[in-house]
Amino acid sequence: MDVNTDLTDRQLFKRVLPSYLDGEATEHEKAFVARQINQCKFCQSIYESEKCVQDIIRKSLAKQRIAPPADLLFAIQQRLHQPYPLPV
Amino acid sequence: MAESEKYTEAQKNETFNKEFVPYLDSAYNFAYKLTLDEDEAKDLVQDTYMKAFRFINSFERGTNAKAWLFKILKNSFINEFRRRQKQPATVDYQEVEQVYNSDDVDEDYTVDLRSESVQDMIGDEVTNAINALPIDFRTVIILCDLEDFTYEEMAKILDIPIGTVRSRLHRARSILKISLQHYAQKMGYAK
Repeated sequence: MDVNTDLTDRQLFKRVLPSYLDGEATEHEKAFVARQINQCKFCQSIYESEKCVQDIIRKSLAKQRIAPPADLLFAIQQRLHQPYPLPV
Repeated sequence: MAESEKYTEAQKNETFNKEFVPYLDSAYNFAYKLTLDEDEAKDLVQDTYMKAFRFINSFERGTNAKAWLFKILKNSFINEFRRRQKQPATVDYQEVEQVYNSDDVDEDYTVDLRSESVQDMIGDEVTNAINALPIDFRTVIILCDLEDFTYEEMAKILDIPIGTVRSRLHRARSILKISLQHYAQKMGYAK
């Protein structure tokens, strides 16, 4: 395989990969990424590494989810039914 | 019908309860990840919902209520809450871009983050690394990887082009990856 072509494909792969992992790639981009993952070990390694980072971030954020204070909705409803304070 | 008369009082309450209240949990978590303070998050969410109700006539039923709400929340944070927090308003994107050049295909992956032992070990470190991100980068990571907004929705919420959403996400993940790799390496998990 021509080195320059290979380099260009790798660069393109790295640019398209985030959209692919975020589910935003076009059909054409999806096909390109799938082909590169199958044919290029470097691209496969990049794919696994980037997917891993994204998975770690997603899992971590899901674990960090906290419940809102129990009185939050009540506090909002209370404020909604109060007249806005008049300027002094 | 004029915009100011779009909903009756009963319709306002119904729209508010049906369209916005179900996102209270998500809104609170977004607010908390922006402020990193439970009291500030609570205040920010209350302000957001008050504004959502006040401006409910500009909301079109059947459109994306969650994105509309998050946009109000983000603007409230920028206009009122960030001032209090004395955080830097912007990131030096050029500097970050120079450090994290996306086309550097020869980068060397010295630490394999794929093993489960590494992932378990870096649990708290991920939280710290996310919380330490500059606010503009943290915001896109939360919207994308916690709340599953699309690029287009994020662009609308943040009032930025889709290209900027992409580049912020890419840079945010690059920063996180490097900081996690450094940490794993420091803890002796280098390949």
